[in-house]
Amino acid sequence: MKPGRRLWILVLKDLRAEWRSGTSLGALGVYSLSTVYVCYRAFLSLPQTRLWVTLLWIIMVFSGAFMASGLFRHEAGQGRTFYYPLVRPWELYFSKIITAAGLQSLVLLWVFLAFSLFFGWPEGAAGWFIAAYWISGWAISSQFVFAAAVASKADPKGGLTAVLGLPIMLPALMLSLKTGFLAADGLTQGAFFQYLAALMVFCLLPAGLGAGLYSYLWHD
Amino acid sequence: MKPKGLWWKAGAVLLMVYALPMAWLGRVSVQVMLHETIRNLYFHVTMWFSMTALMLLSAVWSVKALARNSLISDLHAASFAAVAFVYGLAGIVTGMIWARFTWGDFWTNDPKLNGAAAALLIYAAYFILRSSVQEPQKRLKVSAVYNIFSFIMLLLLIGLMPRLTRSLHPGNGGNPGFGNYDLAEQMRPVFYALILGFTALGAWLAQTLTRIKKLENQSWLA
Repeated sequence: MKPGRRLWILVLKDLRAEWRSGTSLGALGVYSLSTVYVCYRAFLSLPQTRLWVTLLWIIMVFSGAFMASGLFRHEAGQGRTFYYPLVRPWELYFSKIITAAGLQSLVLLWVFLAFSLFFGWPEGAAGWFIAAYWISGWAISSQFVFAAAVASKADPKGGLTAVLGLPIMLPALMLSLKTGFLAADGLTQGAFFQYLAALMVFCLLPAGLGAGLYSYLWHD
Repeated sequence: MKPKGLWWKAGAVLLMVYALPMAWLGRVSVQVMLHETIRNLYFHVTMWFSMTALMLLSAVWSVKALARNSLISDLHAASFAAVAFVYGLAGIVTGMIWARFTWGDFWTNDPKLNGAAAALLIYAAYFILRSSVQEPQKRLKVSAVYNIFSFIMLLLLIGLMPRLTRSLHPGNGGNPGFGNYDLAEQMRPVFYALILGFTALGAWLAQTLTRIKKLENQSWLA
């Protein structure tokens, strides 16, 4: 079988498993919605754009950590011996990156809709804001996948994902916030595209690096 | 028997004996606003250089640990990371004191400060990861992989982020670096001697830490 096809089958398998179990997707939806709701009850309105973007990102990051923490749960225990003869470690890792990007897109959409419902839109935010939000979300998820891979080895429940993931994704998060501020103010020129390019680096580099290192984690 | 590694330890002591008194008493360039606080260049900036060097050594030991599956290399990597972490804390504290006297506040929103804070958080997470795994072989793999990954992310943080943002620090965002014309010629040798000296001292400390850990864990290292 070609590697591309194996990758595709792995992604489909993961997405199907997520869909069928329902618990993790449902938990994720309830978790993020209730966080937004608590923020709404506390703040009622967010007149400042900075506050709007920052709060959106804080909720996004913790939902992302929550999403990633369950990614490797099927591969953590004895189940992984089943994969040894079938796939290569980098294929498994890339399939997780793609699955995470897909799930992260769902989370992004969900949090964004909830946020717009309770707090409305900041003035001046438009298409570029959404584009920046999506690219940042993927950059963050690609780093959380690495954290989840390491955490699943240390603790099969994946409880360490947030602790390991947050420090390494701080730079990407700072860039995401900056891009968000610029886009929300409608300042989508020069610096904005530099930040977007840097975010793409933060998207691709951890994915490649993680795939290389994952083979060492995989075999015991 | 001739003790191993004597030359660089003796070198570290000699460098420190020369540079420490010079750092406190030697002639420094006179600068508006900085005045005598410029002496902090010897203690603050050197900490970061030495910290980065020690982190690099820690990552190199992690690569060795993975490649050879060597538990001793893993202990070395952890010791170097521990010393680098202490250097990082010292760098933050000296920087905060300097910032208070020149910029007016202990903490400012500056990309270098944020980078430093992120670096320390990464290594704090590394120690948490190590303490959460009991089995030595598993700890070797998990922590070595995390160490290598986070060191490369750190390089990105140091190399890429300050180029994208403005900074109060010299040599960033259009501010002239100290080296360009501020640094008195007499300051240079002291500064370089301290970087080398602190790094060698850190390596010495890390080596001692590894020896203590070896004694503690003789049961599974044998």
